[in-house]
Parts: sequence; C-alpha cells; structure tokens
Amino acid sequence: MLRSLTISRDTRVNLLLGPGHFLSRFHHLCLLPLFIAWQQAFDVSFAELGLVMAVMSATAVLLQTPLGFFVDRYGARPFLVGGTLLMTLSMAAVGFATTYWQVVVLALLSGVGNSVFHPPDYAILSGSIDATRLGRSFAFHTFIGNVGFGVAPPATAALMLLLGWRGALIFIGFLGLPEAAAIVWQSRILIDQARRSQSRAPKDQRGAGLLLSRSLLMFFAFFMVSSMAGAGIQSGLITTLHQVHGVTLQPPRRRWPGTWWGRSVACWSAVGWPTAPIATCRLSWLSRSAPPRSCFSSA
Amino acid sequence: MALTIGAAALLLLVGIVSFAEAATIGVLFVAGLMTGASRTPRDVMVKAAAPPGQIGKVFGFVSSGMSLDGAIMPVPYCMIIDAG
Repeated sequence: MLRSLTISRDTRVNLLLGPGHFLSRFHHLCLLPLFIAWQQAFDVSFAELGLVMAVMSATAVLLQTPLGFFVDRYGARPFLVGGTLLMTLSMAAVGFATTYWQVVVLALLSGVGNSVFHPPDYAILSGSIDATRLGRSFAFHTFIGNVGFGVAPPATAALMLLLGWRGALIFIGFLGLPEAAAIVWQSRILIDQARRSQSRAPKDQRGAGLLLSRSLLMFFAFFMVSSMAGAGIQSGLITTLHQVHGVTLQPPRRRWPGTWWGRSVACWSAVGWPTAPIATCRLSWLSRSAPPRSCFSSA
Repeated sequence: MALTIGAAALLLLVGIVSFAEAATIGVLFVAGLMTGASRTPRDVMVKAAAPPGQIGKVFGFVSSGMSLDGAIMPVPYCMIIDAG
C-alpha cells in the first residue's frame, strides 16, 4: 500500500521546480492590480507605473543569456535558490516602499531574480528526468507557469482586498521562501545536466559561436515572433474587442485570461499526453541514432 | 509550426469576422489551446539542438527572445489601436 503511494523521482523533480516557475510568472503579472493603489500612494502616472513592468522585462532580456553561461559553468542549483530568494524578498520589500523610485529599484532586483528560472530549470529537468518523459515534464513546467500568469491578477486583487496592497505584496513575497527551502532540502534529487569540458567542445558548440549559429538564431526568432501575438493580446485585446466589435467590458477579466487558461490546459492535456510522447520519441531517436553534433548539424 | 500558424489564423479571424461575444471567447480559447500545444514540441526541439553541457545558455538565449517581445510589443500595438 505504502509502495503504491510512493511518488516517483521524476514527479518529485517536477513538483519541486514547478512552483518556482509558477511564482516567477505570478510575480510578473501580480503588479497590474497594484497600479491603481500605487497611483494614489505615490502620486505617479500610469506611464511611470508601466516603467516598473518594463524594468522587470528588460532585466530578464538582458540577464537570461549571461546567467545561462554561469549555469553551464557552475551548475544550476545555486542560481535557482539565489534567484528565488532575490525575487521573492525584493517583492516582499516593495510592501515597505515609501517612494516610487524604491519600487522601481526593487522591481529591478526582483527582475534579476526572476531571470534565473529558465536556464537552471531546463538544465535540471534535462539532467534529472528520464528522456522518454521529458516532453511531459516540459509540458508541466510550461503549464504551471501559465497558471501563474492566469491567477496572478485576480489572486492579487483578492489579497489586496483582504490585506491591503502592502500586506498583499509581503504575503506574495514570502511565498517564495518555502520554495527556496524545498529546493535546498530536496537538492539531492536534482541532477544537473551532464557537463562537458569547454576546451574540448568544438568552437561552434560553445560560447557565442553556439548562440550565433543559424539554428539557434532561428529558435530565438521563433520564440520572439511566436510570442509577439501574446504580448499584443495582453496589452490590447480588451481595448480592441471593445472598440472594434463592441464586446462589453463587464467583467473584463473573463476575456483576456481566456487564452492563458487555454494555453495552460493545452500544455498539460493536449500536449502532455498525446504529443509529448511523440516529441520525446523524436528526442530519444535523435540521441540514439546520431552523435550530439548531428543534432546541431544545421549550425 | 502548424499549431502556431493555426493559432495565428484564428486570431486573424477574430479581427476580420464579427463574431458574437461567446463565439469570440470560444475562438480565442481555441487559439490559446493551439498556441499552448505548440510550446512543448518547441522546447523539446531546443533541447535536442543544445550540445551537452550547454542547455543553460541555449535556453537563456532563446527565452530572452520571448522576454524581448514583451518589452517591445505593447507600445507599437497600442499605437496601432490609437491609429484606429
């Protein structure tokens, strides 16, 4: 009986990393409901408040690639724990801010912490999860992140009603402490990606040469272009539907998170089961039938 | 790729055709499903393209592309809305 209740190592790894990704996404969009309170508290315009989110996004753009280099060199776990703590404590500290510029600086620090999640998470998932189940694991990781996006605005709004904006931020910030503690406590089950001596790797498979190869530039472009619609939907869908098609605005939150919930459900139900085995079969086939270099042959 | 194109087609459809409110939400939901369904195959392909020991920098680089559009898209999109 007890044996049947045992959680597999793969599941434990997914459950350990998933909440961190959830919090990472949650921290991005939890700021939106706070704008109204901040406008009154700090006497600033919405454009100035938009700068807070822009600072967080810009930090992620600038730091994710350099952090990836550090993760490959020094291992993923220290960055994951440090990033979670920095992100979460910075967000909690915003709850004590007395000026607008303190909020901007703390948002920058939170953005630094937030930018560590993708490189270490994927490095650990790739090293810890069985290759035949890796697609499902990636699907769960994406799913739980999108849940964070979806629930952040309404959950933050509800917390603001209960605790006020300062109490809500302190509560949200401290949610990351158990996650960081759990990663440290269970770190023995987190296996980092297989290392390879940098000096032995061919020049086109390390450093900037790797990132500027044709295949990775194509991936970069695909990530960017395929996400543009999502960024546009986030910023303008409600306005567009209202002005062009006359869609009523009450209650507005029913509409735009619809696509995020769609993505979340799809990642787990549509992708996690029917297509993940196909994707992982392809991965297994690649790793079995060809040396690593040929996976990168288009470079 | 097909899922991404399908999602884009559905979003265009919402822009071109005047649906009822419930249908608009439904079409957007299906577009979201298709977009989400394209994510895992994409990530698995990136993993397959990463040489051993290079996964951190590879995912860091391609993920920064995703963050970049979040930083640059809202302003031009809102300019399009302002232009009518």
